[in-house]
Amino acid sequence: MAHQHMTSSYMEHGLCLNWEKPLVFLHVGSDILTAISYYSIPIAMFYFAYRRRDLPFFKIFIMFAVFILSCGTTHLFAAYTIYRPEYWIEGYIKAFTAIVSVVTAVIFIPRLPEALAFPSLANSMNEIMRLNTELKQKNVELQMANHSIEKLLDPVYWISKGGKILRVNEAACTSLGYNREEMQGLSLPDLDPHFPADRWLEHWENLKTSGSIRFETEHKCKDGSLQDVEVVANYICYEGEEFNCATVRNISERKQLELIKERRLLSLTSPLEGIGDVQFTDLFDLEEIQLIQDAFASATGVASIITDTEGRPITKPSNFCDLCMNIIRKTEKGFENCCRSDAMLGKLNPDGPIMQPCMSGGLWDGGTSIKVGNRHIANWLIGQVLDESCDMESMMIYAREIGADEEVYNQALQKVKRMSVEQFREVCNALFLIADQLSIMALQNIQQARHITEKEKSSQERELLINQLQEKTSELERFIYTVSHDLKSPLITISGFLGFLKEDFKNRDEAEFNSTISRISLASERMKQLLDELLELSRIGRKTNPPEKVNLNALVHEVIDVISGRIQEFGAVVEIEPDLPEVMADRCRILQVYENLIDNAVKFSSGQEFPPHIMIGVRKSKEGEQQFFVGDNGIGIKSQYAAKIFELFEKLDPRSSGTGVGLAIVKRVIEVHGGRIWAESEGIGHGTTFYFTLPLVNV
Amino acid sequence: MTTGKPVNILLVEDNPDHAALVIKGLRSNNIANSLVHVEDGESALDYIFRRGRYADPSSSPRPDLILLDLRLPRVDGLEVLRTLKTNEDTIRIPVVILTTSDAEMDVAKAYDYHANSYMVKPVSFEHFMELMKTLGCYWVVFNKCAG
Repeated sequence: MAHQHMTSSYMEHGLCLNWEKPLVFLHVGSDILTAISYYSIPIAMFYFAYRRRDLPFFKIFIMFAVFILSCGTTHLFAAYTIYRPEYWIEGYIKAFTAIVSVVTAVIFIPRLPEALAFPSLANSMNEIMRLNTELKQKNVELQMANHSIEKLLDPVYWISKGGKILRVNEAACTSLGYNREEMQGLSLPDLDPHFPADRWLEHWENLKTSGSIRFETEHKCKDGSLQDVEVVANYICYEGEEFNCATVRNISERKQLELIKERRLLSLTSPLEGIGDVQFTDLFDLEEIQLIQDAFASATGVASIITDTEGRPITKPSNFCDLCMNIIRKTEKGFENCCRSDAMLGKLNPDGPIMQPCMSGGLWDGGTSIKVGNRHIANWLIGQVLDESCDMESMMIYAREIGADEEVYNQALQKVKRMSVEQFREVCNALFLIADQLSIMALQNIQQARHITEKEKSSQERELLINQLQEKTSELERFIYTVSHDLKSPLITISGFLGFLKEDFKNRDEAEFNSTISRISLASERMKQLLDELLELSRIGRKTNPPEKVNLNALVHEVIDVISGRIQEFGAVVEIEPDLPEVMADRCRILQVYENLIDNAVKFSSGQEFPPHIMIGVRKSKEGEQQFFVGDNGIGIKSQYAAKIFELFEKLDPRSSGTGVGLAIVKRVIEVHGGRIWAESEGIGHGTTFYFTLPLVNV
Repeated sequence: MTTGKPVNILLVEDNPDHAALVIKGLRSNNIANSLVHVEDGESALDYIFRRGRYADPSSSPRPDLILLDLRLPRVDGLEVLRTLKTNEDTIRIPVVILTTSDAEMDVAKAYDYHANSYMVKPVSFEHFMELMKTLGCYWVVFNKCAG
């Protein structure tokens, strides 16, 4: 190796070129120039890579730089070996260049598709331009949307979850009288008294679940007045932040109209004697009347107005002349005279129109009254007409009297409608006919409205009666069903055992014979009892004694006396609260109630290890209702049967004595008195308490 | 009339006289060989599902036929029927309604709840005995029940 590395054993490359100067110069010069440029390119590339760290394909870029650098070195050595034969070093450099170029190729070629997919600069620029245009477009749209919301007639609010007002449009500010800065410092509870701060969250949750809610409420203006509004609230969640975007509509006018309509109906339908409350505006549509009045005035050329009986205008004046409206009425004295004259015209005159020269100026006026039945509700006044025979001199004197500008007065006087007295009388007669027709219409309007309400009322009453009847019928059906079943039972027993009686007789079985006989007689006894109690039950609803003051203390003690035999028999302890109140009731029936309940209590508490304990008293419910009770420490009932025990012939224990009518009677009595009865028990073995209510004596 | 094994009948009847009549009627036709009588719906269900005082299976053999009255204290007859016919274990036990009611509603309801037969207790003794005989023969002797 040492031998091979010896430079001296090779010859300079220049020898190959015969050291011909131009040729050597050509080779050396070209190689050096190539090398210089090959060196300068990677330096620029390194600098570029250093400045642009976000460069795509950064590693490949660096590999290229190294590759170009090694190529430059190869050229440099090619020039060098012309003078010095360092072919080994040159070879190593070439080998290095080869490795670098191969590595670069291996890395670069597989990533070629990726590099191709990379947008070219031009494309990127185009894309940026496109996005820019789109952005501008969107911005314009946004501006337009913003502007239309801003200029919308209806108020719009953006509200945060906390109830703060974030943004509003112009209408929101103007409708409530705030400026924008004031508005955006407020919370919704400041605007809407129906959503106080403590109810806001509940409202928000409600809005969140339903997405959009429409409701009517009131908004408070800056001056403190309230405005009827309809609100559509919309829940919006944008990038994790929640908003309520609400649009609002002012519905004050609609509410006002509804109110008028309601008032109109109410006054039209109140009793006939109450006609005193009916107003002209309740009976007629003002717009329609105004049209009639205007048409009449323009056809006849006279001025016209409808006033109430006090002279206050109801309609707008039509065809009023300048002289009256703008001159005479504008002076203090003139106006006073006008009102006096109008009041004279407005007197009720059922036989025809009133006609008179005006007490203020002397123009001809006429009037007729409008009435409902006999009640005078309004006046229709016409006039301001000048007849040919009028004394113009005295008219001018009046101008001086009231202190009007004579020049202007005279001009206005020339323009006043002229008409003969006869013609004006014709007009007044026509007016009387129309007003008379209006009066008839007014009465008909009232009668019609009343007729409709009465019809509605009677149909409602009929429906109620039908429902009651149906209820009664089904109750009767149930009753007949129960009765027929329970009366048939002893009949089957009787006829069945009668049949066996024959067999027993044939078999000479005396013991069986006697038992069968006793079954038959018990069944017929039971049948009699059933019939008696049914009769009793039916009597409760039909025959009632008038209610009287009943002292319950005395009554309960009386009952205890009556059934003392049974109480002693079972060793029962009866505890009675000392101050039971007085009630309004049928004494006999209430006696029956207590007798049944106490008897029941004794019966269902006997036969246990401890003696029966009966409690009688009254308690006050949470609502302040007096509830009377009879309680025991007996066998109790399961809660699911607590209602069933009041049904006819219903017995929870088939072996217990009685027919199952007792509690049905008790319930019937209490219900006939307008009270309720129910049983409460903690369950089997925990006793039962019966509660009932009765009308008290008002102190 | 002889069969291999005794037929267990469960009589659900709240009226003790009627129960005595039915038992007498069946017995005089040699049918009531093994009959249990309960007086209300709750006891009937307790017996069939072996609850409460009927928990011991030896005291409550599975009935092969149930004679059921409709108007019963505590649990109504229709309710008992509905319970039996909606329960897999008891759905195949034949249930014959034996009641005083001939109301259309009751008959319809009973069949809606899958009663196997509906009988109205006759008032006449002859008819009553005839019914007991026929009912006994049909359900106890001739009718083939599912396992």
